[in-house]
Amino acid sequence: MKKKFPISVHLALTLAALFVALYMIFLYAPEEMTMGEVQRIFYIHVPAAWTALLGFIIIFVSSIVYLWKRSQFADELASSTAEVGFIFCTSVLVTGPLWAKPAWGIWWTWDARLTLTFLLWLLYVAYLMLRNYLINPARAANLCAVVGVIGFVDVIIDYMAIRWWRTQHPQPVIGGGPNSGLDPRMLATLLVSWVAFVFLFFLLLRVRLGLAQMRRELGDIRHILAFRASED
Amino acid sequence: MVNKYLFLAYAFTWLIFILYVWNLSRRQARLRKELEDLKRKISEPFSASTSRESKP
Amino acid sequence: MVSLKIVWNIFSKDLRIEWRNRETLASMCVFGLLIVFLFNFAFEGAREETLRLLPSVLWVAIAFAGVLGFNRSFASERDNACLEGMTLAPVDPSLIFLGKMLANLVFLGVAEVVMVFAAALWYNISFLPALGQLVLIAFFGTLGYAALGTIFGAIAANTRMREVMLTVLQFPIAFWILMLSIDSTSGALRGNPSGNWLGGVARVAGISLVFTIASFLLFEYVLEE
Repeated sequence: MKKKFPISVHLALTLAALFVALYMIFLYAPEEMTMGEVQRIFYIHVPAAWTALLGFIIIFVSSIVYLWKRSQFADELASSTAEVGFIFCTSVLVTGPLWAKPAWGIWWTWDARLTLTFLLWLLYVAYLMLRNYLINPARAANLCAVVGVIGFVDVIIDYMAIRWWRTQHPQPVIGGGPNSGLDPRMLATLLVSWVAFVFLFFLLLRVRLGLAQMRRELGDIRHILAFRASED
Repeated sequence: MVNKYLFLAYAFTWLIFILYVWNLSRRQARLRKELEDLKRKISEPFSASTSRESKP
Repeated sequence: MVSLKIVWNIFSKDLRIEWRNRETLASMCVFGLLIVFLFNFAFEGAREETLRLLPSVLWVAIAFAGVLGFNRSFASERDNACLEGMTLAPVDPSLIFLGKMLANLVFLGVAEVVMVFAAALWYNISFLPALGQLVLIAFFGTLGYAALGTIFGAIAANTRMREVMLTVLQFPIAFWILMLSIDSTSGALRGNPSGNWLGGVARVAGISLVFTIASFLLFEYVLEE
């Protein structure tokens, strides 16, 4: 994969996609009628949220693959994805209130999507904390994979439960979302922005994966050295 | 005049990603340095280093 | 039959240890009672207000008391190096999980009875009119909560700062068990204004069973070296 798609090309593509996305966000997409230019936060907020969710799906799949095949790569993929996904999820939580305040007049409301995003963020935090606090490295991959799977079960349950919860209460109006009322130029901008985010996500993931592999190689070398030293 | 919320949202997002890239590059530099150290240790004559340690 | 005996052995072992020192149960009950007591003073108000807040108070108390118990459940195994013994034992790890989970379920259940009794007394509310429904909600809510607590307790036993780690894992994932339990408990206490009492119980039961089965299936990887 590395030879077919070198990281320099990946970087160039990511930067190009980001520039195109920025151009479309600020110059191509029309101004929203009621919210004005603040609505342009939408083009980073929503793609970041989708990417954060994609991150947890990758964690789930690679956790399953790890438990099934014991592949070290799957474990490294899961831990790297958790870190990058956490960054995206954090940016969702930062841009959300900054959009909600001018659009709804409040910084935060516990509506369905906000609650979901916050729970997703907590899951990322829990997963990363577990990675850092484990004592026995031999068990680390197993334990993290278990949490990755249960965490994803929780994400799915979130999606169902949010519909059951407080059904008798009035739901706050949800802004955004690619519904049918979206201007085609807005939709195009949103999609291009998402493509740029996905490129960025995988670029960061590759760099982070490289770090994980380097760390493993270092550990192996240390192991060999210690073995040699013990031999004589 | 750019809306301040719009500005802040984009500024924070860029900041988060730049900080993360900076953090990644620092970790990479540290690992690379460790790797260089180890490589130097390995390339040193193996028996010489151990004998030096065993005969202080 | 053999597997049932293994589950029973682990379950009764935990109960016997608890019977000798009564540490876990005592701390769970006292902690739960303190939360119910503190909120009683914090929320002094009209009856309608109390009815609205009581389910949340009770489930928060249950949640925190539970975490206290789950922490001890595997911490004691780890401190005495029994975790290694369990890993090496020629026994299906899922059976160990069932035994530990049932013990946690019983401990938390006892603590719940104490807390609910105190709440009825102090808040001056009768739980009797909807007792059957409340027992069902409490059973299923506690089942899912204890299942997650058991597997996360075992995971957290492998970490530094295990108390913090268990809490950080348990609350985001058990979030909906607690929320839906609070929802249906408050519905039950108000005489089911929505008219459909089974729906609330079914939701709690459904989510709890999903988490219980997932924890049951995944537990073998927690003990594996």
